[in-house]
Amino acid sequence: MESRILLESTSVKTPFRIDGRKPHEVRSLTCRLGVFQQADGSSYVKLGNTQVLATVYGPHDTRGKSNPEKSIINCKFRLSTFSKSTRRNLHRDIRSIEISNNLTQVFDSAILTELYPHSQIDIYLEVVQSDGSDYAACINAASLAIIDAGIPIKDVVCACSAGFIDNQPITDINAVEESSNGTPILTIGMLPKDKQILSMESSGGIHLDNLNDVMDAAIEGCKSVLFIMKQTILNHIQELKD
Amino acid sequence: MAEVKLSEGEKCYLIHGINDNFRIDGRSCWDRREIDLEINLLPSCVGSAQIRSVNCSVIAGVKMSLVPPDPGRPGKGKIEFFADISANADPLFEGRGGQGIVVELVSFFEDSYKDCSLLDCLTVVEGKSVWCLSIDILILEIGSKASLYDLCSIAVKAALYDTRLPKVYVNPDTMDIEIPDDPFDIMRLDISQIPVFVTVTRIGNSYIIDPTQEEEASSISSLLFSVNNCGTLLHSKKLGLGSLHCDPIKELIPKISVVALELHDFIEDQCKSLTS
Repeated sequence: MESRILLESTSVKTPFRIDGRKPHEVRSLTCRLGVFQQADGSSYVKLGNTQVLATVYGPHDTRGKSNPEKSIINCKFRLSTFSKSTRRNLHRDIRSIEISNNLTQVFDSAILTELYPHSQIDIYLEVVQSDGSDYAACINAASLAIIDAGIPIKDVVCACSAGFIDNQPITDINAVEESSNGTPILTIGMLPKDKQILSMESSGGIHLDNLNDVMDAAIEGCKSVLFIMKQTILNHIQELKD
Repeated sequence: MAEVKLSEGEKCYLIHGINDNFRIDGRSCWDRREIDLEINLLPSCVGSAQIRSVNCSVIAGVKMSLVPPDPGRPGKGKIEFFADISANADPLFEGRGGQGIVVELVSFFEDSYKDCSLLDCLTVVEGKSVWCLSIDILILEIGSKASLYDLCSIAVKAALYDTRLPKVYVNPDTMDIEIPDDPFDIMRLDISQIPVFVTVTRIGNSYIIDPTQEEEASSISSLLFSVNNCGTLLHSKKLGLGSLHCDPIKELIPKISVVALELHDFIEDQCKSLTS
């Protein structure tokens, strides 16, 4: 069965995507900070239909080994059983472990870990609903939760995914685009102020000549995401002040 | 759910208050904290509900599949329960840390729903195929363990209220099953018989419902009852350590049926107001 992911519109030259977006459009993003009472920091991110809950505990005593020079970051990513259209088994999911490790690396380099020697910071991510770009949504959620916890971080870490379909770079991939055969997906997580890339992960074949365009699309997406995240943080701080 | 440690003095203050029907947050012994219910929030499920009550938050999601029935019960559908405590609730629950609580919760649900009338309306072709509802309970935040049971039962009942199963047409000659494409050609479940759980906790000389963490820390023990809308007790269990005298429990029974019926009415009212 052939399915067209990019639909050529009849009147205008710009093609539309399966959910009616333009190629460079990011899905609607809603963020909230401080959604849980018991955690030190927590956040909720809704990117289109992808919903992620993040909590941060710490810095607290380590449960195992401790590092005398910096704090240990412990990230755990999990897709809930009902997050996708088919029920999924929770345990032995290699992809989840990989994402957990990636997130640990991202936040180990973003958080000022040397300020908390002999301690541990736990970051837990729960994907309640998965509709593509889970990894990017998780980075954004975790970053907001860390800010809510008041842990010093270099910058607001923001992330966005991009792909390449029909010779056209597209920003913020949804689940349909993700699952269509052979779509290359590139996820970039960055520190926006210094333009430092913390995480870059791609899957699916893409010609090197096109990589620049796709990277630009992802970075543009990061900027739009950052705008909303910053606004949410400022609103939250304003609420705390009042 | 960081464990609360109370000193003897704090416990004494709390217990004396409860003996005078006055709790630390101003409630009386049989008052419940405010419950916030939301349904139909997960597009990937046929039915879903989220419940929040102060520092406890639970999501229930229902998924369905067509399966052959159990050989011994050809005319009955199946309901499977899965529960899971997110590490979001506490770092203790990372990995398989919450397994102890989860196993207890799931087995209590399974025992309570064993002979539920709901199973009869899940039959598609008798002896050949029935609906299997997989109910996933995701616990995001835990206040006290006792009130967790009550809230999970409400979340599951509300999620089943929200459940939309496609109407299935069976070809009488070939016995083939056809599922129509029309997303509005659905059937809803009759949830009136579905039980709710009521947990009563013994503190000092009285029983209370919906304890806070501090109250749970100074409690003797808890009793868990599963009651349907007719006031029939389906399943019961004693939770935790400690021992209870049998006479006060007998006096408790009429009270429990009142509380359970109130809870049934509450769920029905809430769900109706959320859908209309």
